[in-house]
Amino acid sequence: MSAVLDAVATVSMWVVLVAVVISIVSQVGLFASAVVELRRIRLRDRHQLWRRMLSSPLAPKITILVPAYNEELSIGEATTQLLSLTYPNLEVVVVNDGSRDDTMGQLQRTFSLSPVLPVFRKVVDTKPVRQLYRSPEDERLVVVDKDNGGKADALNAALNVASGDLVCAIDADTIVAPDALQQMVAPFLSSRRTVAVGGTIRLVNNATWRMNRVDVLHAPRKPIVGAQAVEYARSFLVGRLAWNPIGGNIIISGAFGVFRRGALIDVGGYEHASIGEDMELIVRLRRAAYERGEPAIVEFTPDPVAFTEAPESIRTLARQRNRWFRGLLDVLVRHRRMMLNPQYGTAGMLSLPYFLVVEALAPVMEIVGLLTLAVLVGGGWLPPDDLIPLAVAYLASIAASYLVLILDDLVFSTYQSTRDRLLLSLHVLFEQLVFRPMTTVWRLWGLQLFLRGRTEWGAQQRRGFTTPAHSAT
Amino acid sequence: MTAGLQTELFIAVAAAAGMAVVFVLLGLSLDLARWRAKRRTDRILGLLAQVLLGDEASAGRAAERLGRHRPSTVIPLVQRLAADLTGDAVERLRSLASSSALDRHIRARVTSRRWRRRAQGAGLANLLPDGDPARTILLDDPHPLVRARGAESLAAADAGACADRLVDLLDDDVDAGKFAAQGALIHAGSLAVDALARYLETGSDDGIRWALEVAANTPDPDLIPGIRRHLDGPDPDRRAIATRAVAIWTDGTQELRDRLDDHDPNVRAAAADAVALAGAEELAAHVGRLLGDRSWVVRERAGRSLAAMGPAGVMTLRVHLDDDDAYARDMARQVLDTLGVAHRDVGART
Repeated sequence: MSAVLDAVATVSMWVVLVAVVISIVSQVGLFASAVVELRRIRLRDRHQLWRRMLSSPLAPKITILVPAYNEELSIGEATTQLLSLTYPNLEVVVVNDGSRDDTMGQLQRTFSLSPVLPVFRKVVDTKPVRQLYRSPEDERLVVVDKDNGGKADALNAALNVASGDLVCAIDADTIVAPDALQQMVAPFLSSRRTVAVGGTIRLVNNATWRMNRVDVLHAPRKPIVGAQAVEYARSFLVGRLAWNPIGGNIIISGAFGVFRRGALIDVGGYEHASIGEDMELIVRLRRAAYERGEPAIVEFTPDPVAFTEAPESIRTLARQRNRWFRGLLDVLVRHRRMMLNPQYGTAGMLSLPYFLVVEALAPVMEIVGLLTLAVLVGGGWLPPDDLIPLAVAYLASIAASYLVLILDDLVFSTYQSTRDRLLLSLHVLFEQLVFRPMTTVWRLWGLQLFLRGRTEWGAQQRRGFTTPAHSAT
Repeated sequence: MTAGLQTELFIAVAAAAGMAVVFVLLGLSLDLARWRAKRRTDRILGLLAQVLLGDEASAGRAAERLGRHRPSTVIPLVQRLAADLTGDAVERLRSLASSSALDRHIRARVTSRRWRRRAQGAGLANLLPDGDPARTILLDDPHPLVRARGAESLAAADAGACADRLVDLLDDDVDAGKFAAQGALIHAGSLAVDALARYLETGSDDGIRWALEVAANTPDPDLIPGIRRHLDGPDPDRRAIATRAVAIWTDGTQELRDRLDDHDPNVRAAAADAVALAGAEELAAHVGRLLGDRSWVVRERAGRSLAAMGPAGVMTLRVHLDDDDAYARDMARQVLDTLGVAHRDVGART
């Protein structure tokens, strides 16, 4: 019996160690790549005047696609902010995706909407459109009222009426930085192979506002939000930027991304049946380009271009993370043909295997190993001293998070006060020791739902961006 | 818990706390470094302001003090100013560049083997003396960003002298080059008209659209024949741009009437805009018919066009309050509401 328990303990220890080491090694590799890429981008940006060039009325037209479902609290303000962006050639298409609250009424009152003949070229299939509205107050605004069909369907409906050469897909609760579009358009002007560009998203749960804009970001006070802020910094600054130099980006955040409209239409728009429609779309765009023999560029720009509200309740967060994980699994299954297939270049040989091992398998291995170890230590079958290598591995992971925050401070000085830095340093520990195991449990929940074929989204509670209240912080 | 484990736990916690402290201390040292850099930048910007705005003596002293700073610090700040300056201010910066040997550094950057340094030099090319060959070689640079920056910089200097080469950039493989060339040609205005007119006659299919956009923003009658060639071409984008452009300098009534009936909604919308731009009141009735167009964009543009036309437009809008088409009635009512013109209520919106 003792020999069996020894073997179980050893295997569990190795499983956890391997999972943590995979995570650390990948983080270190990605960190090094991100640092090099960041330096390249900063040097490039220092010597160019894209922002000035793109203030020209001849700048390529961008249509912002805003799917809205039960967003009555934030839709009016969010749309007004989009219309006040400094980009000179802009169109905004808001899609009310069969909301059950007063989203449509809010839009009608705020922009004095008038119904117009719903005449447009249906390039991608969607649920029936009830009515199209335009605003006499701002000719750049189009509102589509349609039957509920999910986010992907709403984005496709917006794509049908969009007239810009480029389209920008955002969530209704995303706040966009005033010059964000200028930054996002620049890579499209640099190469015609660029099909999608994403940027860094920051959390806005604790910010100072001025003139309806985010003025200063403060480190979130609540640990659950703080942990997400640390996670976002690591995910965007390292997890996405690092893939730029090797051309392996396969994720653009659904909260804010710019695409070439023609490329989107060529692949049939967003996939209705997918849970992680943002990642699925990028993988499909890249796959189609590889199959045509003209590899596409998906670029990530590290500058913070948009802000969003992080879930503050465990329940909402759990649903979000479970959905994200199911989305990842869905993409890995749908595009399994690309996995380790040289025809699909970096995306097939590196990115997808990375997501399979590091994002999908390692957390599951980690939690199973940890639980087994806890049982063994609790039962007295494993001496606690044997857990030292594990502690070292976790410390290394904490160090990696601090490194990312230092890099962020060095380049973007996101949080500017000592108080914020102190708070963040605590959030790093919380993220590593409490938040990470929690997300792993939610992923396991997502895994079992995925295996049972569940594809629904779940609702998220919005507080709405009531700026005066935020200004007080 | 054994003593050994307690010690190990203590070490782990201490290590994590140590990392947190290092993080906070590094942040503080970054703040200090930023504060110093800002102070240095403010000092240099102050000296540059004296160079640009001060009398000759104080400008001379400021230039001398600027010479003591490292070029790598001064150049990015000069670059920030250079692109937006014209006239005397540019001349002053030029004389500063030559007196403080900045021009030597600029030339070295323009001819560097590293494209990023060339891009930086391109941003300052307008500070080199007129006719300096280093200015024009940027337009033939192998890197698109350098070509684009070179074009942009030339827009602030002698775009007219390089108009032919700027026009060639409209065929650039990279959109950034085309885009910068457009800006430079618009800046050059009448100095680039001959080159642009020639291009409108003979340019490539891809480049013509970009050239037409420049022409639409360059008010010169010599461009009209070139623009007219594209009024009834096969490409609706080009027809729309040409329609708007031609309205600026001709009455072009017949041409505009044809475009108001174009099968492409964007061209019809552009024609409605153009009618107001040309002040062609005789086309008011024609534009009025577009109030019931199938495309909202066309109806809305037609409404705006009539609103901008004055009494003739208002008269037409009033006529359409009784239109058979509900959308035409609605658009006419909306525009009259916006103008604050009294009219009888035609009922609820459809």
